[in-house]
Amino acid sequence: MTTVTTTAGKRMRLVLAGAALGYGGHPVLDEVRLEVAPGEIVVVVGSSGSGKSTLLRGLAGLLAPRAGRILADGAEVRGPSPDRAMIFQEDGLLPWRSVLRNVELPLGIRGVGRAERRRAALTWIDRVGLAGFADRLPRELSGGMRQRVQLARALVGAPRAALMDEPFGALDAQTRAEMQRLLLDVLRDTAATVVFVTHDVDEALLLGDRVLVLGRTGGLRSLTGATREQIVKEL
Amino acid sequence: MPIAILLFPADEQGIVFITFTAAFFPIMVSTRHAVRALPTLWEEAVLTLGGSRRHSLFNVVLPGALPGVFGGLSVGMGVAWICVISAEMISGEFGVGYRTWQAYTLVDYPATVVGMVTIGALGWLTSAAIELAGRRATRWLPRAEGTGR
Repeated sequence: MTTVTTTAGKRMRLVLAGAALGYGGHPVLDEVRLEVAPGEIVVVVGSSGSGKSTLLRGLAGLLAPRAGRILADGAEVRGPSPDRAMIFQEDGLLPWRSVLRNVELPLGIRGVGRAERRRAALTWIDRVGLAGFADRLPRELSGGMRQRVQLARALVGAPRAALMDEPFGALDAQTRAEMQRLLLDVLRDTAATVVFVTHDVDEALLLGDRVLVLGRTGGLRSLTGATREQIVKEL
Repeated sequence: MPIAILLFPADEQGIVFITFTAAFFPIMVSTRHAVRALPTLWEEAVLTLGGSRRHSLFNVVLPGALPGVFGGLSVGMGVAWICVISAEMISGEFGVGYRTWQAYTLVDYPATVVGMVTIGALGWLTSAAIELAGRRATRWLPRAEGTGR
């Protein structure tokens, strides 16, 4: 119970110091330098295949850097941690668990008591607008609703950083706009540093405090205050 | 099979051994395939929520492999029946297979038919039980749409 409250409030600083990331033979990203200030919402825009997801997987600790370092609050990232929650593009919910049990999962892993777990999960389910759907299975929900559940599941444990891998990429335009509003709303009173990855320039401009472009060449350029046209040209 | 029957002092032990081995392999192979076919996404989701390997085993691998495990159980049950009945016919001292075969050798046709029907009914009942348990346990599968319960 205490873990939920004490880690909240302290936002995480994320640093990529000349990190090289990749699979198999050749690195997808090389010499990436990025510093995300605590509490900042950084959006990384890139076309498909530019290594956006790879970047996030590195930050999440799912992929170890081949060179350079990845730091979370000054400590080297050596593996996944509940402090850095990840939201996946495809639906990462466990299909055999109901909405409630999916949202309870991170709390259960931390050993939060049953009653407290249920209360916190229901609060979040309500907050993402899914009140009344707690007992449904993921297959009984629409894509947008499933992403709402993922959002609740990621944030219920009060992570200090949230890594979002095109969470709204597969949704239709209207649902996407709804989800973006919900996300901004929810993030306003959540103490999390956010790294959000997308291929949608408008989404990046809407959500980000800072917008970075990941070009095809693997370079990461900061384009804060840039217009839509400038960003599109950089892609 | 003859070696196994010779190897074990009591005939019934040999029958149990044969049946076990015959059922074991389909179950093991299909469980292995089910585990290997699991999407890594579920495991990664649990890991990034702070789960350990143990959490991912209990929360992802075991439930996620269940459909495959039940597939193996169905096949295993069928094979096990075939083995137990034929082993009983060859070397049993009791059991439906033994009784049916004995009735046949004694030219007691009514008892033979009763034996055959019993074997069929038992096979059907056990595979139906596994099918039902499997459906209950894997209600979350996308194809279980609608008539899930």
